[in-house]
Amino acid sequence: MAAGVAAWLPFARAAAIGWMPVASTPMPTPPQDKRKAQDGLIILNVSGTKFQTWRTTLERYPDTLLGSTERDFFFHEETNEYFFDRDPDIFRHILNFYRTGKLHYPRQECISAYDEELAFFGIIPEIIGDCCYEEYKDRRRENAERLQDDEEMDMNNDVTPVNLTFREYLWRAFENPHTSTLALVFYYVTGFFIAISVMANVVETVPCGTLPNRSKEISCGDRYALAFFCLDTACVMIFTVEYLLRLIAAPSRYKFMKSVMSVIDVVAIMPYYIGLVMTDNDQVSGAFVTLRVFRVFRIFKFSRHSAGLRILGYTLKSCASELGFLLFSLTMAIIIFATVMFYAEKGSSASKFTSIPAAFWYTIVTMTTLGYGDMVPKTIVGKVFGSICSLSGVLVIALPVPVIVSNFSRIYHQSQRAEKRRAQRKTRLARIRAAKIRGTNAYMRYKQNGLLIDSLEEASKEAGQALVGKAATPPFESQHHHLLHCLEKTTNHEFVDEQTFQANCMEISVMNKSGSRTSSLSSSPHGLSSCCSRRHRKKSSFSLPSTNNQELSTIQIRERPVANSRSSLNAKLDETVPLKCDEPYITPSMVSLSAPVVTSSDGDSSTTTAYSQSNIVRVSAL
Amino acid sequence: MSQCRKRCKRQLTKVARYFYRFLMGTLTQDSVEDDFELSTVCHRPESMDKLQEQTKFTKKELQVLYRGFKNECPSGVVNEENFKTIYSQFFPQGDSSMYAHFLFEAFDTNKNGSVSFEDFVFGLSIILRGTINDRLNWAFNLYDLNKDGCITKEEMLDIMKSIYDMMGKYTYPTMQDDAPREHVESFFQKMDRNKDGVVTVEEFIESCKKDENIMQSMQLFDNVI
Repeated sequence: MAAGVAAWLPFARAAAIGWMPVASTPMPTPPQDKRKAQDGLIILNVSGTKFQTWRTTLERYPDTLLGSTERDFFFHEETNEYFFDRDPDIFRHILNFYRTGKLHYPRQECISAYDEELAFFGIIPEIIGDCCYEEYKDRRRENAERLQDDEEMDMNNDVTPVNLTFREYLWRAFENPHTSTLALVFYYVTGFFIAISVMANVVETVPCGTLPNRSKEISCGDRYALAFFCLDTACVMIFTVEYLLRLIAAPSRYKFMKSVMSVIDVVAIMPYYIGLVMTDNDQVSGAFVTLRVFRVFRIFKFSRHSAGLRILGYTLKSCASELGFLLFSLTMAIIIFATVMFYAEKGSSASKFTSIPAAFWYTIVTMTTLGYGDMVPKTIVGKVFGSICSLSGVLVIALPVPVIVSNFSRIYHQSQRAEKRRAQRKTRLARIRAAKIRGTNAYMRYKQNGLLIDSLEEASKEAGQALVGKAATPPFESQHHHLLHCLEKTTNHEFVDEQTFQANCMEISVMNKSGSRTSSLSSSPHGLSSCCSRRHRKKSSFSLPSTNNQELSTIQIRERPVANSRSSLNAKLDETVPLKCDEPYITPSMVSLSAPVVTSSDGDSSTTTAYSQSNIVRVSAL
Repeated sequence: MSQCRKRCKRQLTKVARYFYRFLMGTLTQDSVEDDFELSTVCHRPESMDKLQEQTKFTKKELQVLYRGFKNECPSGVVNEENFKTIYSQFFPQGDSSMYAHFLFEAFDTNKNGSVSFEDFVFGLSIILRGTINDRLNWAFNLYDLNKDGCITKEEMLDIMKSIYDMMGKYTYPTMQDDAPREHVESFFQKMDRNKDGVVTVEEFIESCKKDENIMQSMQLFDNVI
C-alpha cells in the first residue's frame, strides 16, 4: 500500500526530523542503500512493443516477476532489453500497476486471458482497484459458471446408466425427464393425468340436466358419481405412486419432504384419502366438502412441467416486500375512506353502510375502479367523499402497479448486486486487514533481521569471520521499516499486532490476580523494555537452554537487566509492566515462543496464530 | 405592527408561489451544480536551474523529487487533504493526520493552503542539506504552532500527542493516556534552561547541540534522496 506512494518515502523520512529533538533514546542506523546509482531505464520488449520504465518503479513490488530477479531469466543480451513473449495490450495494464499502484481490469479483454497474464507476472488479482473490482468479479463468476455448466453437461452425457444404482437412476429420471424414454413417458403421463384431474374437478360442478324424479338440476358430479369417482381414484393412484417413487429415489428424504413440490403433492392427494376414511357422516361432510377445495392444488403440480410457473413463483417471492408494502398502503387508504364514508352515510336512511367493515367492501370496489354498484352513497357529503375515494383509488392502485412490474427486474438485480457487494465488502475488509497484518509482520521481521544482523555482526567480529549474508530486502521496504523503527524509538513504545496485544492484556490480568500471592510486585525501571521483540526473537542461531522447555503455570516476576542486552536473549519471561487491560478471566501464562524462519506471508499468519497458543515452546532450527 | 404585516405578506406570497409551482409541476428546480470546484489549477514550478540555485540539490535529485511529487499531485500543488492521505499511507497502524497537519503548516511557508513544488523542495533542502542550525530552526518552526518564537507546553503537548497518535492502538507497552504529557515534561526539563515555562529558539538550539543523540539523529536522513 505504501509502495504506491514510494516516491514520497524520502519526504516522509525527511519529515521524521520533527521527532528527533523529542526523542530521548538514540535512533537506529538507517539501512545502507548499496545500490544507490542504479536508477536507470529498463526496456521491456513485449512481443515487439517496447515499454520503458525506471528500474525503481519495477522494484516497488519485489514479489512479482518484474520486480524480482526472476526477470533476469528474460534478459536478452544482444539487444540489452527484457523480452517477454506475451500480449502487449494486457501488459500495458500490468505496467500501469507498477506506476500507479492500482491494477485496473480492461472491460474488453477476455477474463481468462487476463487471469493468465496476471498469473504469469506474479500479480494476485485481489489487488484490483475498487473501480474495476466488481466488473472483474462478475466476469469471473460468469466464466466459472460457464465452465461448471460445461462440466455438468459433459458429466450428464458421460455417465452411463449402468454405473448408477437403481435409486440414483430413478432420481435422475424424475429430475431430467429427457434422459431416457421411460422417464419421458412417465413425465407426459403424469402431466396428462394432472390435466384430467383438474378438468374433472371443474366439470363435476357443471349442471348436467335433471334426474327424472327430481325437478331441480343436479351437477354432473352427482349424476355420474361413480364415473367421476373412478376417474378420481385413478388419478390419485398415479399421483400416489409418483410421490412414493420420488420419496424412495430422493437422495435426502428429509430435504425432499420439506420441499415445496412435495408439500403440494401431499396436499393434492390427501383429500381423497381423508374422504375414503371418513364415511358419509353428516357432521363432517361439511368439512369434507371443504377439503375438496384442496384438490385444486393439483394444478400447481404443473410447475414441475413448466419453467415459467417456477420463475413467476420465484419473482413473486423476491418481490414480496414490495407487494407487502403496497398491500399495507392500500389497507391504510381503505380504512381511512371506509371510516369517512361510514360517518358520512350515517345520517341517511336505509343506508347500506351499516358498519365500517361493511364500508370496506365499498372502498375496495371503488378504489379499484370496479364499481359494482351494490353499495352507493346517497348523501351529498358521501358522494363528495366517494368521488375523492375513487380518484385517489386510481392514484393508489394504478400508479404502483407498473412501478412494481418494473420493480420486479430492478429489485431482482439489485438484491443480487447487494448480496454480491456485501460478500465483497467482507472480503475487502479482510483484504485490508490482511494487508495491515502483513505490513506489521513484515516490520517485525525487519526488526528481528536488524537485531539478528547486529548480533551476527558482533558474533562474527568476535570470531573474525565475514558477515553472513542475509536475504536481500528491497531498499524501499527496509527504509520504510527504518522509519517506523525511528518512530518507535521516539515514543518509546513498540508496534505489536493485535493478537500479541490481547495476549498482553490477558497476562496482566493474571498478574493482577496473582499479585497478592507474590509479595514483591517489582516493576523494574526498564518497564519499557523490548520484551515483545524478545518474544518474537528468532533463536535460530542460538540453542535454547534446556530449562526453557518446562511449562510455566504462573507468572514469575523477575528483575530485568538492561533492556537490549544480547545476553538476555534466552530469557524466559516477560516483564510485568502494569498494562491497562480489563479482561477478567485467568489464562495460563505465555512462555516465550520462538518463531520459525518465515519468508512468506502465509508463514506470517501461522506465526500469529501460534502466539495465541500458550504453554508451548518451540525450538526452531536454522 | 407594520413589520408583522410585512412578514405576513412575505409568507403569503411564498405560499402562493409554492402553490402555483405545485400546480404547474415545477416544484423541484434544478439546482445549479456549482458545488464542485474545477480544480484546473495547474501550477508549474520554476525552472530547474533556478531551483538548483536556490536549493542545495543536484539536478538529478530535483528530477527524482519532482517526478514523485507530480505523480501524486498532477495539478502541481498539494492541498492538505492530499497531503494527509499520502502521509497516512506510511503509517497504517495509527492516525497520522494531526502530525501531517503540522507538517503541512511547516511546509506551507506562504500560508496559502497549498504546498507547491517550490515550498516542498525548499523545506526538504533545509532538512536534508542544511546546516545543523538550519535544521534545528526548522524543527523549532515545526513545534512552534503559532509562530510566536517560543514553544509553550500546550503546543508541545499537541505535537507530542500527534506523534503518539501515529503509533496507533496496538503497542507494547500499552499506550497510557498521560504518556505524551510525561514526555513533554521530560522534554521541557531538558530544554527549558531558565525554567520559565516556554522554550525559546536559543534555548532549543543550545540544548539540542549539547545532546549527542539528537546531534547524531539530525544527520540520519542525509542521504534519503
